[in-house]
Amino acid sequence: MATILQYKCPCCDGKIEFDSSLQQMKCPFCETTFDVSTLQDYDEILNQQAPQEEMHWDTDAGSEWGQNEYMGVFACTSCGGELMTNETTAATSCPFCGNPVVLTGRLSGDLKPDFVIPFKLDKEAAKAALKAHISSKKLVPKLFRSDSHLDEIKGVYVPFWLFDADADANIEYRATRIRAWSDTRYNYTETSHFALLRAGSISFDRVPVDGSSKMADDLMESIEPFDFSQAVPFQSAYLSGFLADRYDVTAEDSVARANERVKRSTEEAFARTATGYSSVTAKNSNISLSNGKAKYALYPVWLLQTSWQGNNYLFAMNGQTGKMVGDLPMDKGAYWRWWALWAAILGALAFGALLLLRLLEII
Amino acid sequence: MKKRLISLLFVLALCVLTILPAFASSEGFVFDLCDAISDPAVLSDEAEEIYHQSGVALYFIITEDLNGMEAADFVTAFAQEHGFYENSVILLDEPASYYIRATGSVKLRLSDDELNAMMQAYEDETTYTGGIRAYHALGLAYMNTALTLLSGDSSEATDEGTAATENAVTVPGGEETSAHSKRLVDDGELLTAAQEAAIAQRLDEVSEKRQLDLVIVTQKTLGGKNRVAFADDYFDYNGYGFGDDHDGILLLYCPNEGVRYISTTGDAIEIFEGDHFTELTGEIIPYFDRGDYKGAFLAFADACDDIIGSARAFPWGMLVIALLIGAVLSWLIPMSSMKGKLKSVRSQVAASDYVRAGSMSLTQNRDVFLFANVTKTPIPRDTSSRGGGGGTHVGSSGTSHGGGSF
Repeated sequence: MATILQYKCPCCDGKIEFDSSLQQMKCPFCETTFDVSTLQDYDEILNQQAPQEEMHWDTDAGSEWGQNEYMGVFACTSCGGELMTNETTAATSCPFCGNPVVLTGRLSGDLKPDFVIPFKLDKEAAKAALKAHISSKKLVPKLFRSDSHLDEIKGVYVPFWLFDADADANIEYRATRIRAWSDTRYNYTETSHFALLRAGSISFDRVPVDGSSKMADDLMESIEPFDFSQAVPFQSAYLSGFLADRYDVTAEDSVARANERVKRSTEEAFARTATGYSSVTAKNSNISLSNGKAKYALYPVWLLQTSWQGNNYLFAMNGQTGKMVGDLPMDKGAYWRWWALWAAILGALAFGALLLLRLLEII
Repeated sequence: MKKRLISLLFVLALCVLTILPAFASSEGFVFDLCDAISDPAVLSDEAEEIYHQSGVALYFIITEDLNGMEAADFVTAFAQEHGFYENSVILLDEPASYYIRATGSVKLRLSDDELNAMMQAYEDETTYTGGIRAYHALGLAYMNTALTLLSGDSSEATDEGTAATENAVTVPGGEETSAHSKRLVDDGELLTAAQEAAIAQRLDEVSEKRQLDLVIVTQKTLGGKNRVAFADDYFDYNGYGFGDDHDGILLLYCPNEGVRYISTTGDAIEIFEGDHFTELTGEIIPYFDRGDYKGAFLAFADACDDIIGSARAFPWGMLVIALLIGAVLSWLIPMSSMKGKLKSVRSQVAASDYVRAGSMSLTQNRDVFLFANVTKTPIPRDTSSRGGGGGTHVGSSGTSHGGGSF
């Protein structure tokens, strides 16, 4: 059984939500602001006073959906409208009355997140960032800028696994150093070959791996890094007003991706200790990871979806740093026009250079 | 381009030189460092007059002390210090010796015998003033002789200076030579009248078509003059050449002295250098070898026509290559960058953002030298032959010329 948790304003009973600019809970009706912890305490007092309303979970519906398409239906406690969510949705808003809803039952499942980084940037910032992202690219079709329709914009707390690990490395590199000199008759080139042995350890903190199968891994990695120093211990109050997903990829299944990145960084870090060589290539690399620890955190992400000429374009913005990513369509006509322009400019320069070389009798 | 640049620099240098002599002339042409001469200023004025007439500065220096230097070094230092004109003769009288030197284009125009004669003229006189006047007179006479020889039968010197002083050898007067006058001067009498007419017609045709004078001069003797100076001065003093740069090419042929020389001026310097010079002479030499002068001269006209045409033709092939280079470069650099900006979703390959600060420790850090290879490659030497036209030189009239013997 899942429950829906809506925070009510202690003053006016309105539905209140987390305000990312104030970093506090704010009532949109009476504009009173509260600390998250205050509200939490207040809520607990209320809960002691009245028994929780139980949600009706329409389990019959499950049989009609495929296993991967599992949907749950909840009744909004504010207007009674039916909310359809899928299995991993933990926070959403009612499509009828717009009230923010936290499905606490979804969060009280396997694991409670250890940390949450609250949203720092609001919806307007996300829209502005998308506009800037599109307008700064010269090859984006002009019509895409004007005609593309912003279908959906949502702030989502994405579940991340954060892995700590110590890497013990034992790496052998081959390196070369080149020295050149000449006398009156010959040019000499001396290539010296070296074997470089590097052993040591390096530690990594909180390498994030997206724990939601709904979120594309490359999209989530593109908006890294998040600043973990702003993370706070998890409280469900932060989710109010945003969507939140529960992890559906376990830490065990995610660790391989973290290891991959850790090993690559370890090789690079030790290669940087080999200086003064013309080339350095790893010959044998033996990296073992130990003291692996995983934490579970929710990171803030704005997801924006636009459609243009029948195609959907998905953009993601780091809700903390504002880093905006998303692949854009290319205007082929503009591409050829720019190519022609550049070819003409560089061609003219090349022509000038060739003429100069001919006049100087070099060619 | 390079030649133009050099020409420009030369013109600038000339401008500077025309300013410098203003100071030089104020110092005079006669330098009496030991109060030996009674009226150095008058003599100096006379020398200045000669300079204006002939373009050659005749300097005289008398001193009792060379400051411990050799005569040659003393003259060099003195000339630099007093900003002497480039085209000059300097006569030095010092207790131990007489010393005479020609500089600039005068070196080419005066033989050693003539310089010696000028020095002797000074020595033979009993007074300094008389000696200096004799030196001036002979110098001016030699200059005028050179001009007379150059101006040939039908033309005259363009320089009003040749009208000159009583000591001068005067040159027949006449109208100023037009740029399009006789382009074939057969003073060597190698051609029949009919051949001359045919060649002259062809030279005129090509010259007019290309707006670049083609001139052929044959001589029995160069009168002891240097071939380079003779050809350059012949071109300059007879007013050949199109446009402000005096574009033109002159073929000088003097079989008695084994002279086959080509002098180029203006645009022709650039056109007929390096490979083009070789190409031109390659066309002519076989005819000369057969003694076919008419054939050689007509080949000269035809080859010049072709070479000028191709040199002035727009280099379409080069333009196509340049545009291809431009297309490839723009694809490699700006376009790939612009296209790359459209794609911002990429997986991270590393985790360098998450390295714990200061956590890296090295327990082993050994660099072991294995072996070394040394390769040596010979330095390529420039073995390409150049037909001529290596660099330019300046004639007595101040015009730049290129060219070479073949």
